[in-house]
Formats: sequence, structure tokens, C-alpha cells
Amino acid sequence: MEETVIRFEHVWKSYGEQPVLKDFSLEIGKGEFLAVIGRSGCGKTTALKLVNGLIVPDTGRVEVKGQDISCADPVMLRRQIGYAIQNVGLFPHMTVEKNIAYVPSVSRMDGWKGEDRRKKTEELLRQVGLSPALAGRFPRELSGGQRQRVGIARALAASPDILLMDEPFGAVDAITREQLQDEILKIHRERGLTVLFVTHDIEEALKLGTRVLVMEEGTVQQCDIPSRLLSAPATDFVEKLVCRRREPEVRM
Amino acid sequence: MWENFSEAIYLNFIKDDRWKYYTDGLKVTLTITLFAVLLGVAIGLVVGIIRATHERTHKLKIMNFLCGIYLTVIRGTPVVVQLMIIYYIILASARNKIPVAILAFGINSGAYVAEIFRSGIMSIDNGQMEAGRSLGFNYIQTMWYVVLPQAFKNVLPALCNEFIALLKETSVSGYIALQDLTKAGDIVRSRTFNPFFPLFTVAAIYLICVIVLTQCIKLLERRLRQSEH
Repeated sequence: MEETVIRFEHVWKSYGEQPVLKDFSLEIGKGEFLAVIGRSGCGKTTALKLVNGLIVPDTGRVEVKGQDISCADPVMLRRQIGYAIQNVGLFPHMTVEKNIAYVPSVSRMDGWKGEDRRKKTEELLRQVGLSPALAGRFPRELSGGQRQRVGIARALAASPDILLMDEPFGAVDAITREQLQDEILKIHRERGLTVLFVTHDIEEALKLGTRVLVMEEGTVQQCDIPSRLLSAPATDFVEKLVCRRREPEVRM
Repeated sequence: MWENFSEAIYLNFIKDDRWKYYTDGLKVTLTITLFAVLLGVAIGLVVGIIRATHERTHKLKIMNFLCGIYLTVIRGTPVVVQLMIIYYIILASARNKIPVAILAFGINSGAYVAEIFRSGIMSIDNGQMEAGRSLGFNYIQTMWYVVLPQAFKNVLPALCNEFIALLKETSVSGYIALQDLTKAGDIVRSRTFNPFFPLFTVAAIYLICVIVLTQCIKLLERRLRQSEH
């Protein structure tokens, strides 16, 4: 594996009495597309939010690019990490352009002043397959798929090299979802991003992931390349998860 | 009939320039209300944010506790009593009564405004906070640039009610011998020995003020809503 970008070391996290992550350890290499799959409440979203410090582990540590994030400045950390969430998250009181450019320009980041701001926004919109003409619209004037694309554009605005995505395509129709999946694969390739992608759809996980992490009740069930997940499931849970997917492949 | 009426007008408004009592009183009432609103919003914003932050993150325990005491005491005692306590006890040496009244009504209003802001902040999906922070804003920046603008729009009708209530509550300023609008009517009544005209005049002026205020806030609301479309 290439150099490790994200490392979880024996992370425990619980909400009240309820443990969500139990001794969770994982390494994610540079340029990987890790699809995380599991049932609701299995700890996959918690794992994601640990990476950009929205959630702090009870014990154990999380490292990003070799630095323990509990010692890092959270603002500087998060600017290297894009974050796209399902459905919500766009600011309803701001136009598309403002949604994308607001944080970088308020934070006085380089290359987001005046005319640059418009150019960069247009560039990002094109990259996620949207017309720059949408820049002046408000989120509620967009379709679900367009909103997701704006969300991704916004997550990419600060030129992060890590992208966290939490069921970003959960609320769009099947055709749009497929387009978005292809789009994100393209972006992953072109930018050389490290992507952490949470989903509850095994098809999606197998299609997108260079590796797939299967989680259940806060533990790692299996983390491997998609073909190995299908051919050699490590636990009954993984077996059950992939069996429906495998049958048509056998027929082929 | 007509003669009685014109004589009443003369007695209530024209003789000795009595209309000046009303205009001067109105000025005092509006001054107190305006500055008390500003003070109340400032206090309410800080207290509301502290309370909402505590509710969401369980941090700021001590500050939240102090804010809780403030809310309980202010909302649990009459504003007239608070006004007199501040005037006769806490600021007993104050010469100018208007700042005293502004302080008392501002502190009082702040408690109600705080609860309005708290509920407004809590009405905004937590995803907005997470989105703002994950993009690289800190907590306060996200609150200020992302959450509060949306919360403000949601609570505007409730804030409007609070301002109207405050305008009318200032009518108890006479308790510290401040010549506000209500007190002005009182003075005229004591000269003419007829309560009818002074009281209805005062009531009409309050009513007009409230109607104007309501219209202004309706306009503001419409403009805020436009910015979404």
C-alpha cells in the first residue's frame, strides 16, 4: 500500500451507554477510494466524523497525514478535508456561488478574491457537471441531483486532498445516482483524492470502492478489494451482504 | 354638542400648549423602547446562543447555569418591580431617569428575546452547523454566518411580538416619575379633571405606533423571504 493518509488506532467511542465503535483500527492509503458499508447505527458515520474532528474519540487516536488530530488546529485540518453530506448541508439563504465560495472568501484563503472567486466557482461547477449559469440560483431552485453536485463542488472548493462523503447520493433517483457515481469516480481519478464514502447500498460500494469496508456493531467485519469481498467473505454478515450480488456474477 | 367638543379639544390640547405633554411623552416612550430593544436583542443574542450551545454540545455549563438564573428571576418578577428596584435601590444615585428605564426594560426584554433566539437556533438543522464547521469555519463563525441568519428569519414574527409588548410595557415608567406617554395623559387629566380625552388620546397614539411597527416588520419579513427565491 502507498503512504498512509488516515489511520485509526484502537478507537473506542460510545454515546451514553451505547458503544458505537469498539476497538476500531484502520489504515487508509493515499489515493484510495474506501467505500464504507453497514447498517444504520453500525458506526460508519461516526468513523467518518472522527476524521475531521466533528466527533472526538473516547480512547484511541486518529491520525491524518501522520498527525494526531487531537493536537491539530481543527480549522486548518478541515480545510484539507472536503465533506459532503446527504441532502442537507447547503446553506438555503445563499446562492450556489455563495455556497461554494463563501467560506474560502470569508476566511481570506488565497485565490478567492474578486474576479478569481467567480472563475473558481465556474470551474468547480463545470467539474461536477453543472452549468455555470446556475451560480445565481438558490438551493431550493435546484433539483436533488443538482444540489448534490453543488454539495460536492463546495466540498472541493478549498482543494482538499481528502474527501469524506456520507451517503451523498441517498436521496436521488437511480439514473441520477448512476451519473453522480461516474462523476465522483472521475473526480477521484483526476484529482488523486483519497475518498471515504459511506453508503448503505452494496452495489454502490462495490462499484465505487477500490476497497470496501464492511462494518457491523462498531467493528470491522472485512476490509478488502471488492472482488475478494465477493469471493472470500470473512464473516457470515459479509456473506449475507454480498450473496444477493454474487448470484448474477456466477451465472455470467 | 359641538361647543362642548371644541371646548374639550381646547382644554385638552391647546390651552397652555398641553399637546406638548403628549409629544414629549411620546418621544420619551419611543426613546426608551428603541434603546431597550437594542439592549434586549444584544443580551438575548448572547444568552440565547449560550443556552442553545449548551443544549447541543453540553458545554458552557457554568455560563448556562448563570443564564438560567437570569431567565428565572427576570421572567418570574413583574417588570414594574424590576424597574423600581433598579431605580430606587441599585441605581439610587442616578439623576437621569431615561437611561435607568432603558436599562430596566432592556434587561427585562433580553430574557424573553433570549428564549426566542434559543428556539430559533434549535430550529436550524444540525447539518448546517456540521457543514459550516467541516468547511473550515469555527463554531462562532458558523453560528454568525450560517445559523443565525436562518434562525433570525424564523423568529422574526416572535421578535415583533416582543417589541410590541415592550413598547406597551414602557407605560409603567410613570412609577419612577418618568414623563412618558401614559404619564403625559395622566398630567393632562389632573388639569382638566376629565379622564375621557387624555386616556383615549394616549390609547390612540399607542395603537398607531404598534400598527406602524407591525407594518415595518412585515416589510422586512417580505424582503428576507425574497432573498430565498
